[in-house]
Amino acid sequence: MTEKPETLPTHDVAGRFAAPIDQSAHEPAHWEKEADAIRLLLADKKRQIFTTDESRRVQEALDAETYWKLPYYERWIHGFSSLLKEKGVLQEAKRACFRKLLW
Amino acid sequence: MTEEARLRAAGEDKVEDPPGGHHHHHHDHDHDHDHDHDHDDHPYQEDDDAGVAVLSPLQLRGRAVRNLLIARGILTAAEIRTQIEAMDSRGEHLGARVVVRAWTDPGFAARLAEDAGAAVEELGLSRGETVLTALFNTPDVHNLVVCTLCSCYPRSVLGRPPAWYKSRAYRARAVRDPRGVLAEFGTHLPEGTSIRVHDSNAELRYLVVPRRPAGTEGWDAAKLEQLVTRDAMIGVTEARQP
Repeated sequence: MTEKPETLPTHDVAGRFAAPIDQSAHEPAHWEKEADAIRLLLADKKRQIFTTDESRRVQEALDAETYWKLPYYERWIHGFSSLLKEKGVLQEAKRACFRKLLW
Repeated sequence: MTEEARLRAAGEDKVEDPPGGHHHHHHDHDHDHDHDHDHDDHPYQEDDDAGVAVLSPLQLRGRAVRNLLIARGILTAAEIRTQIEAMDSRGEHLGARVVVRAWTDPGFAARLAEDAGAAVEELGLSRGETVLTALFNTPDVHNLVVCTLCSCYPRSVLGRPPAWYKSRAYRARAVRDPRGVLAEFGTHLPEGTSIRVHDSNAELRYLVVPRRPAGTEGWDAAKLEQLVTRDAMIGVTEARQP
């Protein structure tokens, strides 16, 4: 088998990590369900604010440590909030009171 | 006051269902606290807040973005609630209906193999935004589904993916050591059975149709559906034995 080079992007993890799989069940918390719903709604046919690929592009631009450390749905929140700012959908992002919290 | 301070002061940084914590259920409870912030419908039970956690900065950012999206009319609270309920309502019970129909109706099985999206719609299920493909296990070939790059999953049928499906270890190992992964899930296939691993992507989702267990001849659909688990439809296990 050919070893994959170390220069592959972080998310391209196939074959590059070995550890037991933690199979414990995780019942999603409400904030997780909400993040899940918001991401899907922003990308739906009615809104089309961004695509799945764009959301992934933002997440995959994170450094490796952050990518693997962030809880899954926090990565999604990072993804959709970054895209809303990038696309100018939420002008509030520029206001001082939101600056620290939002971006 | 900054938005973060305002949200924390309003109690918006409290989690009602902390992961791994005590689960409270509020299905009879109006979750629409987007239009009022006096939180008389506070999302945790006052008499037992042992499981209450405080939202992290990114989680709180999610809540702030939600509030802004609603304030600007980009989303409504009702749409969010409906979306959550729709995803909550999906799960292995839906996939099991598809699998059992395929077990018991050869015509349906053929249509499922040809165009799984159209076939699941026959059962009143959603095909989702992507192409759905059914993978039929045989005595010679066992199918296993992963999304190495992310977490793509046949959500229109099975709902949200389990946490382990999204884990670094599963994403990495399913393609390199599928037999070892199956063993970790208690699945031991004969040496002669090939394992075919399918890497999902943003356009294509897979549903494994496990083999019908022997000794289930004459069973009705409801009984058969009990044998079809989420894990069997991902391919980390086989259907339950009767």
